[in-house]
Amino acid sequence: MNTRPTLIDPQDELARRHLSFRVGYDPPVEPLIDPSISLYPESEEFMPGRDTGMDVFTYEIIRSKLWNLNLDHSDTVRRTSGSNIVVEGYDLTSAIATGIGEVVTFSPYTMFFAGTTDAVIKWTLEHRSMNVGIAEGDIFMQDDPWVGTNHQFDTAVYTPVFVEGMLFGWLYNCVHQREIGGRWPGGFDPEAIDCYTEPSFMPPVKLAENDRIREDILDLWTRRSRLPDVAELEVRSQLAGLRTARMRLDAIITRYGAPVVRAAMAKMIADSAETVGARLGQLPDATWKDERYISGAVRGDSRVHKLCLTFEKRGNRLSASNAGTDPSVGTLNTPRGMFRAAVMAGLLPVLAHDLYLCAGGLLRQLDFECEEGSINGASHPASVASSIGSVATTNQAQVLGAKMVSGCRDLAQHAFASSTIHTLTSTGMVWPGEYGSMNVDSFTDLLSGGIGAFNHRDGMAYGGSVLAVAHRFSDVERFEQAMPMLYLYRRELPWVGGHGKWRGGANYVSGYVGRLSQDAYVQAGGLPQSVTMGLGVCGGMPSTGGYFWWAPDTEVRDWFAQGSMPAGPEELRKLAPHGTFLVDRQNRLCDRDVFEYLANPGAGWGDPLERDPTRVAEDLAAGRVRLSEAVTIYGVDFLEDGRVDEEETANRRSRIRLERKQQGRAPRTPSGEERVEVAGAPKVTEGVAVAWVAGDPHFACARCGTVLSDARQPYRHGCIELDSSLTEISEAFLDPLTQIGEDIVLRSFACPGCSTIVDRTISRRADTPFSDVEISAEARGPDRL
Amino acid sequence: MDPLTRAQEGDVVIGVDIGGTFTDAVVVSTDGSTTVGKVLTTPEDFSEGFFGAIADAAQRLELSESQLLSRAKKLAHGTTVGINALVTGSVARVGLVSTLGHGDSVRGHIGQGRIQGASIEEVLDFAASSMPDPVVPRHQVIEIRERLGPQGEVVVPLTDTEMDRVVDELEMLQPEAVALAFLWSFVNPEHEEKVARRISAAFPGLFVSMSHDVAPRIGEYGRTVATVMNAQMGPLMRRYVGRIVDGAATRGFTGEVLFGQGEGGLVPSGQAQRYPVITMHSGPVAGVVGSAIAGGRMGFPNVIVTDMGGTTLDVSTVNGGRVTYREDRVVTRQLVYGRTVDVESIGAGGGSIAWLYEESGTLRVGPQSAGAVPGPICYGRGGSEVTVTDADLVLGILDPNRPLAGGLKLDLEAAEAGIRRLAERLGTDVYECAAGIVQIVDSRMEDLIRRVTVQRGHDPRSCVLFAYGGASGAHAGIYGQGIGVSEVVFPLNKNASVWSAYGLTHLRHTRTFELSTNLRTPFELEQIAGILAGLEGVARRYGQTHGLDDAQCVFTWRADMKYPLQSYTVETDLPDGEVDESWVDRLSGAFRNAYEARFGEGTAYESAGAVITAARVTLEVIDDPIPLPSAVGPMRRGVPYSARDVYWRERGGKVSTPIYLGDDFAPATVAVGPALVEHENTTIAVRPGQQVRSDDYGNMILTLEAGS
Repeated sequence: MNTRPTLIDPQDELARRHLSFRVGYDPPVEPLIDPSISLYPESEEFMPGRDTGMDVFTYEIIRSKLWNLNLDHSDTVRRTSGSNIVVEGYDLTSAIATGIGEVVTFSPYTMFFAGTTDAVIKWTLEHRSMNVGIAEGDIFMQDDPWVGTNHQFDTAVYTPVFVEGMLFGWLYNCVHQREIGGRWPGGFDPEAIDCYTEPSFMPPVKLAENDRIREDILDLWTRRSRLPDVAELEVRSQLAGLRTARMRLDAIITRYGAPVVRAAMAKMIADSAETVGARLGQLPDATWKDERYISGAVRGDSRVHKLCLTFEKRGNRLSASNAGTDPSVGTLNTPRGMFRAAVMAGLLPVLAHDLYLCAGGLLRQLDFECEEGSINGASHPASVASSIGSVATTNQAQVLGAKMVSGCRDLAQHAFASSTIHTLTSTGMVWPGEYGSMNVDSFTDLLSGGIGAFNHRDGMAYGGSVLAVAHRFSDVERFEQAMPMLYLYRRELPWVGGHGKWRGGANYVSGYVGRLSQDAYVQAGGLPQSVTMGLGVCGGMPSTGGYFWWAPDTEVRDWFAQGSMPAGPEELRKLAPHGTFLVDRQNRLCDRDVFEYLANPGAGWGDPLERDPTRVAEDLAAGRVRLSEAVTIYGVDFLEDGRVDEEETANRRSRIRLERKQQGRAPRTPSGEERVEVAGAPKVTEGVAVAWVAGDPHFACARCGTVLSDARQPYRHGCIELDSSLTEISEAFLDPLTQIGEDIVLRSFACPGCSTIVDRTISRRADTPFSDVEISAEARGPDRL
Repeated sequence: MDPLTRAQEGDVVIGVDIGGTFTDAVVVSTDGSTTVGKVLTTPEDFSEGFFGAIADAAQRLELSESQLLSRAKKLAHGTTVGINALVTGSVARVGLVSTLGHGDSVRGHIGQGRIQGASIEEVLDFAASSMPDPVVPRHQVIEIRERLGPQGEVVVPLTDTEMDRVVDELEMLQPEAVALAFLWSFVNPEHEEKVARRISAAFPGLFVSMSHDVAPRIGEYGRTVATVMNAQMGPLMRRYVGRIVDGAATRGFTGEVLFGQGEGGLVPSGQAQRYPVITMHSGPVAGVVGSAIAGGRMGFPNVIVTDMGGTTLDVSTVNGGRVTYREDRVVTRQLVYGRTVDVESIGAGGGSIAWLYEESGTLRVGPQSAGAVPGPICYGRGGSEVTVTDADLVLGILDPNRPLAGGLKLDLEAAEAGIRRLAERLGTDVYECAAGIVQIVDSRMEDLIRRVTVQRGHDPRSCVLFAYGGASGAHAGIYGQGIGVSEVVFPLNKNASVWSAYGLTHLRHTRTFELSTNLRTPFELEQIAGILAGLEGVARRYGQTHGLDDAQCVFTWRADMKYPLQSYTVETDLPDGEVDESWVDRLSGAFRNAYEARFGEGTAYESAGAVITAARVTLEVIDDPIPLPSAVGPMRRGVPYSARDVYWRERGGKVSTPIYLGDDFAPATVAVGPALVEHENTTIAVRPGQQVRSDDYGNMILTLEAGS
């Protein structure tokens, strides 16, 4: 990238700025920058007569140093922050970017922040370089979602780095600030109508000039907060991080020379882009699509809304589109910048896991099309504070990415099914503080969830989510010290992981009881869990979206006095048979009130009938499956001593396969069950190969070779369809009919030949299955895949 | 008088450190001279190696083992027995008793399981990462109906019936040790103590470990892990310590054997038996604390301590003669509470593998290591991947004709062939490639050292760098220069390979007592005074119980402090004097200074108030200092004994380089780089522009290029 500053027409700048405020900023490859700013050339190629002197060894050294300085940047922010959200939840990032904002590296915390970093910097260049100007010693801050942040809390503080009077790069950090005002403490308002009813926000402003903090801006920032001390401490922590990073970057530049460091930054991005391109090149030119439902736009919302994502891969590039996604609604939304950021974050594990978080390189290979005014392309003034749209999009992109690479052996090794926070829910507490103020704090139990199953092994209990690779949740004692409540239990539910050939990871269920305060509440936020977004991959089963459960006015204190205590969900139900899953936003949690929370486990990968029966026996012994599940879902029978009854298991599995044929809906477009050779054939997913029949490409079952459809038709229409209720999977699933009034089913697509389930979706019963994989016309020739 | 005669006169001090391969004993005589005993470690019974090393040293002093031991006034031991048992899994089967509803606290690792102890490469690639097993399996966890609240108040009372049930379940489980870890027990230990008494009555002699006793800190996960590990090591350490103490007495030692702890001091045998978890890492830590004590007396108050071996580089800091601490650490991928000297490690050492990242054609070094087996290519043990040691050999820093310890002969040709293969793919020549590998690994080490120093508020320019460990000589001159120190010290290089054992001789009887608190401004003076008085009482009782001389006991008071709502704390020295308003003011000032020293000027936020999350007192017995050695001797000439061609990147090619023998250095001798100084276990590379000399104690001082 070699952007040169150009003269900016003020009228044009104003029009573009207002457009970005309205529909969201779409960062161009080359931002328009006022000519008063000179960009530092990226390598000797653009600087005749100057040899950067960078050899392969120096490159590696600088790469490592930039990575480490950036980690230290985040570390400083965390260590000086006053927010558990940052310290324990790792809801932050820091980054080093080039002069035009391409991210060289970012820190391994909230991943989608990296996809807004370049947007924020480019916006600042395009709209602040001519007025108010950008100079050495400036520090900017901003939290405008339409410029480029997930929601109003995510506050970017960033500074330009000038060398020899030229703009060399940027140091940037972004943290989720804990309290920035708005109608509700903490800022999440499930009844928000638009962004005016949410915490206010600021587009990029100068927090510091000539290395001096502008107290007016700091006051402007902290005055809106219920916890101004915390807000100020958070800004100071961000400034401390920038100071650390600047000192370290200066030392590296002094030591190796600015041209060398700049050239290394350019090479990191170029190398990463090349690697991502080469990986994409291994995939067939095809299109993969996901359509799913999301609900809970506002309290009491009984509708479902469609989220669509399409990945179209051509050559070494990938285009992501949200075409078909429903218009913005209630509080589900996120601006267009976050669609881009979330897709990038979702693709990191499969395309860029080893590129030391060089977001600029990944983004160079991606194109985006985002429908204006959609749920994840929301226009101003939609409500955007909830984060639901961005989290849902990240999860959707990660799972669609897993499906996309599932047929490619090398890339599939790094893919996995839905992981925790796939169906975003959260719990926090509100209680009266001193002097009439309200205290607010969050539990981080939602982070205790599991990682989805991989294509070659089980997922991990408590493994975390793709939103951040380093989540942690606090000890029980730390929460009890901070909030007026006690944990009745924090107990593993080992059986909640999604079923499959490989199982998803499990997590805790937590029970709370109030103490001390007679006016305390649990805030239960997020999505209706019955419409789980925890989809499995390649026939793996979904995992529950978790649940809230609440019971007021119980006899829990009497139990305590008698030396007793509910020690798990079953006992809690005995204590309070009147408890309900249909909880409100605010749930009183005083001495006699109890609340239970289940986070999101990981989903499964592959048909459970393909699971090694010995593993099922081990699962049974460890409580990861119950006996009924082992028999009905995995088709495994046991001898009296607990070992697998191999003969009965083979028989049972055959019977289940037969039942699938007998009980399922016949293929919508039968293909005659012709079998073809699929050994060595290219695959579009793990279970679906492309084989040529009479010169035409066809989709076929990768296990048995049964032809599913002509490749111009959806292969799903050539499959047996099995619809089942989600609540049949386990009691950890809530009923969509009860919770939101929709008939949502788990739909499984089985090969009409061998009955192996090759894919599953969660849809309305009446829906016609959408086409999830299409190969390009050009790729339909035998030599093209 | 020679060391032999001095040792025969008595009053020697002995330090014994058991490492993975060798067990080292160092005997310090009254004139500071040292004698080393070295035997192979004996994993089947570590005490054999312990006494074998002492016997070896005795033999060198022409004494019998009992003659030497009877002359010893101090016998200090750093043991890896406990951690070795944890790593190999040969620990006692522990029954964990935890509060009802919370028996799974060790399973979730508070969300850090995938990350703790993993490389960043594993962390970023979910598929390459894994979750460690919980420290104790589920079927060995018994939940007990009892519950305390955050102020220690009883929420659910503990009943006799419940204790009987737990005893019955333990009867079925038949554990070899028991760990008790109840919520909030560190505020109110009553329930844990009651249950411990009940279990001890039912199972006399069973090792019982209580969380409020082992790790009295808020946070049930780290506290429970520490308590479980303490119990896992308990029976083994009880036997082992007993064998050492009895064996020493039988062999003529009349004093009290003292054991090293992770915090850096020594404790008597009873403490090591009751709290084996505190002995973890005592060997490496002894090297650091030895550096602080001996270094301070030699005129090095600010030290960056580095130990570079085959697989890892350990780094820590000494500031004004004081080491830095942390209150938890990761052991076998579990977070364990416990005060320990802060030693950071990265996977970078002689065995680090150089590899080509195929997708971008760039060279990377580590974090994978060839370890000792198969080891570097040049070891000829089947290693096929190029390592840093291979590069050192090809460059000529290591002598191909000089076998390593154990007689291992280095294969230069094989190493060169390996590096050539890499070089061809990178388009460089073999020497450039070898030098590049060294540059990259040294840069990684420099980055870690910077993280441990600059990031924690220490200015490397005010420090010297101590470098020991077999691979340090070849590399410290580069990574030292990178972080900005002006001198690298290879401490008492004759003892460099036994530095931990030597460090043990300098350690003092030390014990820290801590109370977890939640005190917020405005502080209540009486409450603080009460807490400090309580801690002092505990410390004084400990002193009395162990017969410590009051006059020799020094108390150091510290607190963990933070601004309200922060999670991370900064250790702050408590002011002297009565707890009054002025004391609080001085405390605020001390906290501000400590905070800004760590995070930078202007980062403190005093108007937010402050919180004290823990108060602690460290009791240290200041006994007679151990005499320091002298390098003055008639046999030292300080001239090169040989020369060989060495590739120096700074010179862009091979240069004939003089080689000195370390033992031949007199204090006045200066060798100007390029030069090599060979010692038994390491070779110091004196790079062009650098020079090396010996000081009066026998430390080798490498002076780095001025202004670099």
